[in-house]
Amino acid sequence: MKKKFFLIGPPNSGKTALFNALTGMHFKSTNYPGVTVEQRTGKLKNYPDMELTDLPGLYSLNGQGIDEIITRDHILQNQQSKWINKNSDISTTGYDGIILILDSTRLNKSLYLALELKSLNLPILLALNMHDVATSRGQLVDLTRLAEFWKDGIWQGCAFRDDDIRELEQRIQEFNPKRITPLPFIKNQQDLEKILLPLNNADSIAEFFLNSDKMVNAILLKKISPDNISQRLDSILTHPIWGSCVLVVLLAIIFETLFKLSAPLQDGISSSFDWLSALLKSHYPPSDFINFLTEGVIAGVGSVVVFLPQIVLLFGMIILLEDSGYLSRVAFLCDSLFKRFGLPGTAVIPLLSGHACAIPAMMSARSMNQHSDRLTTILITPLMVCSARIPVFSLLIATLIPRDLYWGPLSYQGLTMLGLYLLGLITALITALLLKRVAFKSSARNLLMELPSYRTPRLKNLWVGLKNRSSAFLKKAGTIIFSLSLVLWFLSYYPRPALENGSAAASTENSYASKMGKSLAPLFAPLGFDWKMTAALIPSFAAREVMVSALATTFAIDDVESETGLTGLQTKIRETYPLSTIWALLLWFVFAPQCISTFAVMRRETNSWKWPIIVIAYTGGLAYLSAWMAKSFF
Amino acid sequence: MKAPTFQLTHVTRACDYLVVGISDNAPLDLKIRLSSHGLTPGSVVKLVRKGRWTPLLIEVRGGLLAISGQEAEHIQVSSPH
Ligand SMILES: Nc1nc2c(ncn2[C@@H]2O[C@H](COP(=O)(O)OP(=O)(O)OP(=O)(O)O)[C@@H](O)[C@H]2O)c(=O)[nH]1
Ligand SMILES: [Mg+2]
Repeated sequence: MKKKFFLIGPPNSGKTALFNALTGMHFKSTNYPGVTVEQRTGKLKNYPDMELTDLPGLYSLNGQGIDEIITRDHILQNQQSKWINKNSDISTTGYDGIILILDSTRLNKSLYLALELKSLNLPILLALNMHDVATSRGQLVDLTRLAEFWKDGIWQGCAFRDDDIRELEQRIQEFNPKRITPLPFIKNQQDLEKILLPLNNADSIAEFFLNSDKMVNAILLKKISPDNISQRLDSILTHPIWGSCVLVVLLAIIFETLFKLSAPLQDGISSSFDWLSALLKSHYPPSDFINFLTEGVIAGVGSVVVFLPQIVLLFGMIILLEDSGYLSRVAFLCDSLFKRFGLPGTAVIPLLSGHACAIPAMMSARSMNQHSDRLTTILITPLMVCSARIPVFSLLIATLIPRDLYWGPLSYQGLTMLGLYLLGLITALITALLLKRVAFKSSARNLLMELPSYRTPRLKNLWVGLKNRSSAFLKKAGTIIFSLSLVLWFLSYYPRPALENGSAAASTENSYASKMGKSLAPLFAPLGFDWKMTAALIPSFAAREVMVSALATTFAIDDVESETGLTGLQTKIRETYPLSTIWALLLWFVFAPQCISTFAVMRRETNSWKWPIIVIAYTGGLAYLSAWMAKSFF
Repeated sequence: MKAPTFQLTHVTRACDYLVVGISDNAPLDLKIRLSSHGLTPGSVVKLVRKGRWTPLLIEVRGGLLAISGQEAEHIQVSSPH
């Protein structure tokens, strides 16, 4: 019979790291509290009849965040269903045990949660994770003594050591708690409060802490030494002046590397596509199919895939910031600035991850306690520049600004990119202020945030994150972008009226796409967009990158002889459009409504269509206005 | 209405250790939020950063905690004897 276990524990104690190690899965595990915001289930790698559920972290059963409530409900509700169905099929609804993961380096804080849960008589296997760090800081735990306090089962180890993981599997396999007294059945909020109330009055809180202190004193043979490295780093990195300087320098470095390091790789990918295209053309006689391959697939999809190095680099740098523990310091430094705009510093975390993709970013706002803070963060996240816009931005920036133009050590290309990101952020903050003042009439919830210790980023976390991201990008290129490029190629290539000399006209001027684009032209003419841009605007709501592939395809059809590849495309754009139009297109994409899936998730997270519709109208309006301004003033 | 108060009172000469005081009129959910981070009346915490331009940074039960706004506004600085 299947056995079910829940992994719970305070935030950032390594639950997901252990879950991944036990199940062989690859969910995000990184160094700030509140990474996991939904439940995930998997089977134990070596014991497929054991099912494990990873849950969001919680400090106490009385926590107020949505993520904490998800976990609390899981353990309290399922506990009863198990009990009620005791005589029927136990494992269909309930669970067989909780694996409570504590950070060994924080025992005097986290044992509080253990005692709170224990007071409810839940079946708990106590897992002391991060043993490696605790040992290196001199801590020694008397496990025999601990077993006197905790009779149900104990494990101590490191999530990254295979032997420790095998041992934990063994413990889970053998786990057989003596007695489980069921909690009363929870039918409504009052029933729930009846269970929680005894846990949250001042006396019981004091008692939990008193008992946890006693326990810590009894089980620690050697106390942990202070984390000197973190302290030293924090004396600079959390300093209002030095810390802010470091942050600004880091941002500049990130955007510099984004262009500099990726340029040679991009050129490499681009020339291999050119080579492939030339090979096809030289080996086969011209035909519609060969044209489709060279103009639709290679020029179209290829022009997007070229940006893989930049995307990988950006993600890599975000992962390093997160896993080192620095991200929480950014939230700390930004708190007073953000508060002026009605948001708590913790909003930095969703907003920064919105640079990768808005979907997980909106979900990560679940760890924010106050409803209006969370809603505001969700609504402004689409204004952050997501990675789907990198191809459009890079292409247009490289078209507008020469590669070797420098301002001191910084390239103008990198600075412009940084400027566009900041423009998104500043607009997001102003929008937040409006929302908080006008719509919600509330100020930001005060900050109460744990800062994790600094850690050397784990190569495995970096590798897994990059692999997930690049395969998601390539999959998108191979599916959505590919099919849209195919459709766009078809629409731009046909119909082909025969010329007088019998050959087909090599021009997109009379194509279906041109007709489509021209029918929308009056709307976009004030922005300077021609039919080529206009025809690509609609599919770009499914995936922004399509703007790049559409331009690449139509130019390739129109001028078979011209230079191909990224540089070729840039030259073409520069020759065809006035600078003001290119700037207008660039600004359009800073603000334009995000892809459809973003709005589907926004609906789910806000529980109504009202907000997504408002955001679409708002960002659409902003995009139009700013593009129009660029067209008029440049 | 008086803002709910969370007070930290200095206890040592060097002013780097503080005693936590939470006023009676603090709302329950603030008390719970504070206590789940280890801040209970009478507990001693270490002051890491004073919090004029940034939130207040304190060391509680071996970990760092950032607090800002109302929660930290009412720090009582009693002159050390
Ligand atoms: N040195 C060391 N680091 C660990 C260990 N377990 C986890 N970590 C690191 O601790 C950080 C937090 O790990 P997560 O797995 O995200 O923790 P979590 O409990 O799932 O966190 P939330 O989802 O935010 O509640 C990551 O940077 C991990 O790489 C361990 O045993 N030793
Ligand atoms: Mg997690």
